[in-house]
Amino acid sequence: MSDALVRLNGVSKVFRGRGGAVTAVDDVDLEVRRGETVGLVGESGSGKSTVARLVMGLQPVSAGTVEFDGCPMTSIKGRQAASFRRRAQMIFQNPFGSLLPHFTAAANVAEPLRLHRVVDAAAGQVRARELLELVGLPPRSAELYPHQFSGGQQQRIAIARALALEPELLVCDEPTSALDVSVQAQILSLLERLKDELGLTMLFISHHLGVVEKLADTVAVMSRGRIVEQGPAEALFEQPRHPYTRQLLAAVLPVRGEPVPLPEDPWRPEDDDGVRMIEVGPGHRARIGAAEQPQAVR
Amino acid sequence: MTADVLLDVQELQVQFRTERGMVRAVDGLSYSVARGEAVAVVGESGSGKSVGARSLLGLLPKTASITGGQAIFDGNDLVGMPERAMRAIRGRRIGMVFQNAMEAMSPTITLERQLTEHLIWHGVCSKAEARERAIRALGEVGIPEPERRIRMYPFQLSGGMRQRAMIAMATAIEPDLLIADEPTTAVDVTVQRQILELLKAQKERGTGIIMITHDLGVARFFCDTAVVMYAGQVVERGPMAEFIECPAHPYARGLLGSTIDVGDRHRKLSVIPGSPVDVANRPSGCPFRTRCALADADRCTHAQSLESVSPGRVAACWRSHDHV
Amino acid sequence: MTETDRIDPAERPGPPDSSEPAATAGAAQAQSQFRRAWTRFRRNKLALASLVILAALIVVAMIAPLIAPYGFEEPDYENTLAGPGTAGHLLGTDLLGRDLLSRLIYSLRTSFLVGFGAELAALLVAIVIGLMAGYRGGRAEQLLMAVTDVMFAFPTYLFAVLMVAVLGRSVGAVILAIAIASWVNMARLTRAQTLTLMQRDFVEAARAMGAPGVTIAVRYVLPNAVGPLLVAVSFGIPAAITAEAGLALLGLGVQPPTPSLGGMIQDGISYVTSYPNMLVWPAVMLAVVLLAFTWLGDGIRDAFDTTGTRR
Repeated sequence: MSDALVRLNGVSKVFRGRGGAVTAVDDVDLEVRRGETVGLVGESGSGKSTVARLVMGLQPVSAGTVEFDGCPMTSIKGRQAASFRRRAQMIFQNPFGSLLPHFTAAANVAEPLRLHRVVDAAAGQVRARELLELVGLPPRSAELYPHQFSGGQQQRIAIARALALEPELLVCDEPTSALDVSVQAQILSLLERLKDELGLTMLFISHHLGVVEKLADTVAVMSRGRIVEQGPAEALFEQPRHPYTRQLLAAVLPVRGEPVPLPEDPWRPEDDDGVRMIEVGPGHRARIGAAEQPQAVR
Repeated sequence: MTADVLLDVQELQVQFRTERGMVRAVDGLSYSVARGEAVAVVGESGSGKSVGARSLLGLLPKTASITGGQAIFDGNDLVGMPERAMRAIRGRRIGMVFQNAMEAMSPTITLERQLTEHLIWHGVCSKAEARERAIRALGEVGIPEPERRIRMYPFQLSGGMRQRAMIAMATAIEPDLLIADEPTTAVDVTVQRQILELLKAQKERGTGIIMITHDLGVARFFCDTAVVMYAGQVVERGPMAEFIECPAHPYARGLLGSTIDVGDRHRKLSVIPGSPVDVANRPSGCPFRTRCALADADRCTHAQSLESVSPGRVAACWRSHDHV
Repeated sequence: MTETDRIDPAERPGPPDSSEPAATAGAAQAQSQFRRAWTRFRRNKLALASLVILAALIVVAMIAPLIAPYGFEEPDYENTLAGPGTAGHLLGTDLLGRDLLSRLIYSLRTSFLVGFGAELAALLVAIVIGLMAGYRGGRAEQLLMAVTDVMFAFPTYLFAVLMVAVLGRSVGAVILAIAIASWVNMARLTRAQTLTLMQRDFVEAARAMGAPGVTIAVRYVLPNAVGPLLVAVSFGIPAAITAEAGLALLGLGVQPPTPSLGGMIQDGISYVTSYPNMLVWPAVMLAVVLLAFTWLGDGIRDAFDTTGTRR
């Protein structure tokens, strides 16, 4: 029926610390359909990385449900949890930190195969080498350790590792933010190629609007834990409807083309309190609806 | 024009002592900064862009030393300047803005002391006047309620606010030259824009600015002149607009093509193969030749000198004329 | 990663040694953390010399019965309290005419046995409890904290003395006493290392990969704590040897006639004015061993120092 691979319904996440409770994610609805790349943009503290961790089940939700392939994740236990782990994989911002420092490149890539007992050790090594080749690393890199690679090469290893289990969903949390400009372009091209070749479904998180626009089919813009606008990438970037989206786009300094002057009166997250998401175009929604009126008839 | 030149750097060389021997982190860096001019030093990891600027103020680790060249600031050579003379310049006539305000500020000292102490040290004004100037400077960088906030410690401010406070700290003394080392890399785009506007105001007052950045968007928005560095060497230098319009050096062209703008959805990314070359294993001849599509085995193994490609523009590639 | 040698933090987002990317370096050699550490260690001549000296002494201790000219309790009534260079007794004899060189070799054996034995036993317990306390928290952490409080309230020596009083003075008992007195600090170190490593991104990446907790703790976290633990062990062994010597001075060391460095020193002290020979040899040997371990530990610490980028 629905081809949604991941669906978030009214998901919230509250972190309780000494300084009181912080709502990192506030009533988020989001859908990732099979074969689609959903881009999640926002500034630091917008809650976009927390959404990634909730989708991966790395943190429990405070409210709402995360469904993976129609199955609520809170009910996934035991053996099912292990199989879920195989179906969703993640790559991180800091490639060096996310690789096991005492494992070779091939061992890093083969580790998920070993963990899930997919293939025996010898076959794992062969598969790891194939994957390293797929992400564009030379064969001799297999026996080297992570610290012997440049940042871009490390991220390639991390991508190979994430692909080892042939996951249905790939969650990318700022995968190019720690990389040099020229290397960022390489990794994006690689992800674009893999997306086409393998038909990957991706949740792609970045603060860089251009990068998200380049890779995503659908984009959601987050601010202070809430989605303020979401829709097809083309529509959202060409006709942004929410003032925050417009403000973000204006703040970006282009290399080609002219910078846009910043709005005189900056939007504040409080401006959105009580404002509803409304449909502004096909599949395009923005939080610009009038505040909900009290029902006349009770 | 020449009368207005604040800083003239010629053939600067910086070496690091490493386990593998001496490494030339900066190898022949030349540029000049005039009053009210902003120069962007652009490059990727290990290009030496930051080392080159920091070395001017003697802000390098002990393993580094300047081994050649000169940097004439107001008639005096900063290279080899005695520490006492350097102290009179550092923070007084040349200010520094860092990527992370925590690097520039002491966590245990209030903003008031951070902002006023060097005014007093340098004998610019009295204590009471310094306080007033500090409050005014904080107000100018858009910190609300500066009278109250000046009593705070750096960690009590948000990241963007701290970055602004650091700019206030560097500018309260009204330096002639400001070195900004990736001043907006650690902040969000909206804050980045605000910080650049602040620096723009400084520039309009006649302060010369050296902006070290990896972000071509920032460089283009803010700077008049581009200095592109690769593996410790300058590969291209010239007016920003012309550089953006048609970069002459293949690396500069690749860097520009790799940069992603909003609206680039359907533009094919041009990708430079390989990883940025580290200064420690720079190839002979043109440092970029190992990644360059146009590399020619005969010519590129020889060192490329900066040749004029058009008035005011130089590039270190024998083919750069083809592209301008 | 990656960040104390502040050559240019802004420009080095990559790993510490990104200067040799695999794609460009001709024949880059695989560098495991041990190979890297060994390469650095070798440059430290003092540490290397210490390692050689200790290795030689350990071999001597291991083959003691083969190379000692006499047994450690074999008296030579003809030559009691002989000076160094006496025929047949290179270093002289003690008041029962026992050969000092032989006793020194055997005592080295006892002292190494006590040092290594106590440290290894302590290390094993420390790793299990420290890892559990750091990774899981809960009971293991409560236990560790409670025991730590108790141990801190007691002076370590006093504790060891009590243990020996209860357990007796066999080599095994002394090892156990010293191990029990010293595992807590090692466990706290393991816990601290684990907590630090838990902050690293690879732990979250491993969870995302679907790795169970035990695998993360043992297979991913622990190997990265090896460096600091090895340093702790190399400082712990001489501490254990010293502890045994200290116990011996109180008359609570390894039961005579089995010789230990501490025991020999204690014997020698009684005759120090009339016959310093008996004190000098074991004291010098103890000093050499302790110094070598200290330099070795320094070398290991520098070799594993992952925070310095050391270009």
